[in-house]
Amino acid sequence: MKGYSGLALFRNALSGHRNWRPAWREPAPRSRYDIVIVGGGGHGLATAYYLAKNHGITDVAVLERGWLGGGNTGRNTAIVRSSYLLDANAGFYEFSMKLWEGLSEDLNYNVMFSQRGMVNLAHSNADLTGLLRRGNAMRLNGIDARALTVAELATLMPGLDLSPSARLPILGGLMQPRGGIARHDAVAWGYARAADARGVDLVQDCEVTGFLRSPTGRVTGVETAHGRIGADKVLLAVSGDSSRLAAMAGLRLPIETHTLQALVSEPVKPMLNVAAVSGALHIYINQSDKGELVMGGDLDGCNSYARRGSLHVLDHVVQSAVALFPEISRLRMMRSWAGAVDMTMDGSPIMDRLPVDGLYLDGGWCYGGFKATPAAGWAMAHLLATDEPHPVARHHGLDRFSRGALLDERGSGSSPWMH
Amino acid sequence: MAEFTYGGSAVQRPQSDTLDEQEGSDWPGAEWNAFIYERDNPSGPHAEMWFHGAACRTWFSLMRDTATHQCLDGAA
Repeated sequence: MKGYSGLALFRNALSGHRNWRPAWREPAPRSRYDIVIVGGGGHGLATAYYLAKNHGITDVAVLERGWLGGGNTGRNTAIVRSSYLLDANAGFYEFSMKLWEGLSEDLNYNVMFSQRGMVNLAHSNADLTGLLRRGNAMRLNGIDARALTVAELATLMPGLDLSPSARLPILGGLMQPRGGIARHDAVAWGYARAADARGVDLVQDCEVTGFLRSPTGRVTGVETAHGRIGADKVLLAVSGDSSRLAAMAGLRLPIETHTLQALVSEPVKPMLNVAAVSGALHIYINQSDKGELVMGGDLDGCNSYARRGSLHVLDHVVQSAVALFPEISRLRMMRSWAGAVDMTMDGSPIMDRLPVDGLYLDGGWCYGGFKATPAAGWAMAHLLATDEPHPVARHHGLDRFSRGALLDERGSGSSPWMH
Repeated sequence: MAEFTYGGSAVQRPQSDTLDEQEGSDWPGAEWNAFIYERDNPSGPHAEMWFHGAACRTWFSLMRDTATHQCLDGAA
């Protein structure tokens, strides 16, 4: 792999940028690998990279049915934060945040990680109490958190409607200064390029249609669009489709698949330099480097694999955005899209071995998959290499449901569409 | 506000309210655990519950295709 650098950019500029090499190979899959990873999104690619880098395991293939990063990795609103209440989630997502902070250098790929700050807004005393409680929990876990007064919010977010006569007046906020956004496509491409350079085969347009099983039931490989591929271990990193693939191995998971939508406005001059969330209005919003306002809201609300959603959900997101920032009321929506997300029964992810030998799951990512990408890859590589859960992911096992050790940040119970 | 509210998969509640030893189960709570937490989550026809909150306030079951959003004939 030729390193990317200022000097390389200069040298290639002299030849009109006609001599850049492809960022990764496009190999035909071999008939057998030590480890096959199903799903070429951020998580699958990061797992492949850390298997090679941390554990020296390079006989690995990543199989992707579409194109790399074309699923939820390329559909999220790119927010990175570790502002979680529960110790297990705080520890995991803060581990991820620390990996984010060195990611561009580690991958030699600019993932445009911008720690512009993440702000949660409170619209009632109960809201504010909840946020302050979360902020205190974060600080006890060694995570940066700062309470914001209305006056501080006015300085930080000049367009925000802070008037007491607003439909849902803002009473304060909580900020994680190290939170922010990253370029989501670049995360997939950076991990892909770095994994490929270490010998991992990335195979696109290769859908997995079933599992090969030994007489004892162990998974020994996968059936694919390109034929059978043997493997000692198979990882599912296919959020949205985890249940569908697990069903091919005869398993039922504590997961439902739901639609999550997002949209962007036309680009405007810089007006919002933090990522902002309002739980009461059900919206998260940030401004991309191109100037578009990127927004998302709640799930559509009923099980769906369709990867398209209803207009009334987008309408609600837009109404919420205008309630927060009245000056954007005449902006036009440029495009909207939807992803199919794994929603678990407690709203937290699952990183574990499945009850079929040789099969592993990185799934159930709900709203939180993108920001988890580096840590999920790190922890899953550890699990695949050692068959022991990584310490930061040891609470995210599949058996937590039967043990009653749920990780329910919101306390909304086993109704996945409510998380 | 939407006229209809989603109520989740139409899963069958276990017959027994107690955690009896079940034949074929590893442990007494397996049947209840599966009822509360495990789902088929199919891509295709799915039996589910809905609530007609803005009018007759009736709960009803429905077959709906989760890949196309089409409501299918007949109750679940």
